[in-house]
Amino acid sequence: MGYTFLAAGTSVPDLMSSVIVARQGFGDMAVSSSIGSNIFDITLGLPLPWFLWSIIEGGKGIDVISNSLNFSLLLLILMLVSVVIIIAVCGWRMTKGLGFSMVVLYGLFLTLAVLNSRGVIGGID
Amino acid sequence: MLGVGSRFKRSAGARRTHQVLRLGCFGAAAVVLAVFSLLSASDDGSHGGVLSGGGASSTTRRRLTEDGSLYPDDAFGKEGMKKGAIMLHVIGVMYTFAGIAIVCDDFFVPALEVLVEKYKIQDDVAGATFMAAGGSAPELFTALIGVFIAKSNVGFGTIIGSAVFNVLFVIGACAFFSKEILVLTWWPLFRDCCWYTFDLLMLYVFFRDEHIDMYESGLLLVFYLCYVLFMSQNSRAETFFKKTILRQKDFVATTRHDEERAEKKAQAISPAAPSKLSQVSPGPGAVTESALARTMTPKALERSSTPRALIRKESKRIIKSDSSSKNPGGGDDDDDDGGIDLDWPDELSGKIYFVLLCPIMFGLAYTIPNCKKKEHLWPVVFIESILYIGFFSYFMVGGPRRSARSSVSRTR
Repeated sequence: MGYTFLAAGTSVPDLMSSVIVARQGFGDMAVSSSIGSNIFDITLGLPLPWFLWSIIEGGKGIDVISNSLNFSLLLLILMLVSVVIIIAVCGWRMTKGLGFSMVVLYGLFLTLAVLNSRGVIGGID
Repeated sequence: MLGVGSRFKRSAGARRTHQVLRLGCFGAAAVVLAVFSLLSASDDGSHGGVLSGGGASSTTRRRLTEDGSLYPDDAFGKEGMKKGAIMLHVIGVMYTFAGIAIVCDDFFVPALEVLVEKYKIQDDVAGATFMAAGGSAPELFTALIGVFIAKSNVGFGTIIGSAVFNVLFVIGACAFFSKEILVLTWWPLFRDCCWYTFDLLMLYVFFRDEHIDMYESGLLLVFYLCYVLFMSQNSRAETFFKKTILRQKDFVATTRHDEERAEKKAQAISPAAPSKLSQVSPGPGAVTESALARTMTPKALERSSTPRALIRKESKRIIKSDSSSKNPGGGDDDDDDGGIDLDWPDELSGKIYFVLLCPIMFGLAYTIPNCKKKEHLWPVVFIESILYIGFFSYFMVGGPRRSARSSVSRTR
């Protein structure tokens, strides 16, 4: 739960720069950068600290906690699929309806995160 | 350095939309961060009234504070976190927000524009690599702090939260704030989704034993290198995919060479005829995609065709050469000389805005060069922008203690 909001804080530069380029008419650039940010997070943001740690520790690995990995991955894949479906349904145009559906989905995710932190459903963080 | 007299003056209208953009971004994210601040500030039951508005129950609060300060106390201390202090906190967050907005708007995005225009990198490629790397630098810093200062890993939760925010909220906000309805092309989305799914699967495989070996983290880094290399060959990959796999016989890819030829042709077009702009794209270097055929107006054509950077550049050249013409392409209010506008504004709202933000504005204007005027300095501008973004984000999420201690709470 806490991380949900911490993450929103660290993603503000992504939000700002994407909105700015979208206002200049570069829709593909905005969408690519938001998915590209996730690729960057997973393949550089996560492993780089681990890798540096391993080098310092002389080749040892690092223990990580992944008690709800399956649920999280399922959530991410579902999110990606729903984004593609929404974009296709809106005819590959970034309409206000598309924006609204995305924000509603984000609200849904936040609700899930809150429910999760209250222990109603099994865990995101 | 940034002489007032030499600066390109924006029109009042352009200036206003500039502010509306920033204030809109503020509003959207301030709501999120206000909830965040309220949740983080609550350490006892006394703020129940405030919190019920944030959609969290008392159970949530107790859990958040009990399990070892997910949100550590900030400068005000736990006792001092009364409503007034919360307000100060929110104001501080909004101020750093403004800082990030100014860095992105006046330095980071212009550096990307220079990159796209000068080096003829396709805009979606620049978006997925340079822009994504710059915008996600705070996440990287957080992860580094987590591992090296807190001696723990920040965990999967940050990635989930950030991923969902990046995709759903950011794309949603782009759709809301764009000036016209933008047409997307399928290739960039398809390409990025494939890579993302692949990376997630790899992460799943490596995470299964709850232990990341050196070769596993190394492999993930190699995947990022592969992604960047793939992106550098994007147009070839696109051609291969569309011609060989989809058997689109009519697909003609844009290469640098083609764009150069198209540019030469474009230069021959009379500057006095902006309506001819649309003729640039069906030229020799154009993509004959179905998406292109669907768009009807020249403006839409301008947005959806591949050599967009070229057309933008061309339309700017026309605007500059013909001073009497009024922004023919629409959304041109950001096409100024780059850098921060340090002129004293005319309207009252502009003046308030100027006075409030002048420490940030002057600080940035005198420490980052203007890459619109000195194009060769774009790497300096790019790196400095990332550092400033990291700096502001660091304050926004509450400094090192917050990120470090929230990680400590995850150690077993």
